[in-house]
Amino acid sequence: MTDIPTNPPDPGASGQQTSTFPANWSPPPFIKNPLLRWGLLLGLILYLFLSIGSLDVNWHRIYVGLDRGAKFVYGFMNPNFAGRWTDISEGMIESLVMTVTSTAIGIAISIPIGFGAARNLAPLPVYLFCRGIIALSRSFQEIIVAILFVAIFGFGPLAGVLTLSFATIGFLSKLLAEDIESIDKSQAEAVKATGSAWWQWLNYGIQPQVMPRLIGLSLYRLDINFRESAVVGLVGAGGIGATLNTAFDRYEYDTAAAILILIIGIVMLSEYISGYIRTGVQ
Amino acid sequence: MAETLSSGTKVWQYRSRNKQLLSWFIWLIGTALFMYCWQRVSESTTWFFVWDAPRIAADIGSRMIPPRWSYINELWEPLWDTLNIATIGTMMAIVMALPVAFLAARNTTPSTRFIRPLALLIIVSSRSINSLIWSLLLVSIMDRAWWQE
Repeated sequence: MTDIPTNPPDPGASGQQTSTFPANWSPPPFIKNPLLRWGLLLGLILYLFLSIGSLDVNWHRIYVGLDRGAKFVYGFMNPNFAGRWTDISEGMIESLVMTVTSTAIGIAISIPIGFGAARNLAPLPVYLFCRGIIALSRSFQEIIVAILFVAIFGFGPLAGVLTLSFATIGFLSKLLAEDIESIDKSQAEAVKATGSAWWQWLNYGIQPQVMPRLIGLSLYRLDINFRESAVVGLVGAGGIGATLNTAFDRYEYDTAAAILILIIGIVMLSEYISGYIRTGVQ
Repeated sequence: MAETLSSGTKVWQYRSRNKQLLSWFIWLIGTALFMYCWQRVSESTTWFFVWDAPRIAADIGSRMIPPRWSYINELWEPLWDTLNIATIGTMMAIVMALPVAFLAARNTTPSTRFIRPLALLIIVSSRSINSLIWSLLLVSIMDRAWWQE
């Protein structure tokens, strides 16, 4: 029984050697150095103290706001579709139009970039260039790009379409490139062994392997683009966002609720349709 | 995959005739839809501003370089606020999300019929509406005009 391996004595504990098996055990600390451990904890507490102290909560405003919050909940229960129906329908149609256009343009641009960003297809300079474009597109939030594009191209849906197309590149190219990098090499090699040219190799060796995923990702991006098209309108890039903003500004919560319900409904509908198409493709 | 008889010999085709027609039809619908949508976008665009875009872009770009670092004294406070929004927001989200997650999971929820749909509704409404719209709503409720007090 003396051969049972016991835990080495914890250097942080008392260090006293006992012959009996230790009765209580505490997990080893996550950070070994006690000074660093307690220092980090103290710093965290200090930071939380300072940050919560600088929140500057105005309870009077919250109390007044509760009334409006109740009004919003009431408006959500009784959405008013009819009152501003022309504004709502025009904004919705513009949002949908922007979604379709930007997704189509985005897919058309991101497929060549996705092929270029796959290391097993593209030479190193092309790979780095395409990865650079993807990184640029992924590093900016849609709203920031929309603000810039509205300043450059003027108000209206074109700025929103360009914003969403730009954002689509980062999403679709990256995931497409990763899918191409993980294809089954033997299939592509078999097509190459038949003496195919490079384009034929792409068309018959690689494209069929990535096609189901490309269709699935495109449908998912269509969904994301619709949700984002509701937001870029806030900075003047077209779509339902401007109508929603106006509704909030005028405290017309019933109209705002109608818009939000329409957005949720369309997103759920598109989710259902894309699930149906995806099962059909695969 | 399909084969057709062409003057007695079998010719290999990628798709059968019906599949080929269906594929063309889907492309036709898609292209027409895109053209219609593009036309609508084009109608509500002021093309004069678009043709002027390269000049504006060059102007913005040239004014961005070099960055005016003296402005940074104005930025410390919003930067601190941003950090606080991120950390306190995450902490509050963890506190609120944990019970909702247990209520929404099928094997831990106390009632599949009443509480789970409610938890799922919370999750769906939080996910499908952008955080910017949520903040718009909360700012509107919490009275945006703090400078009017």
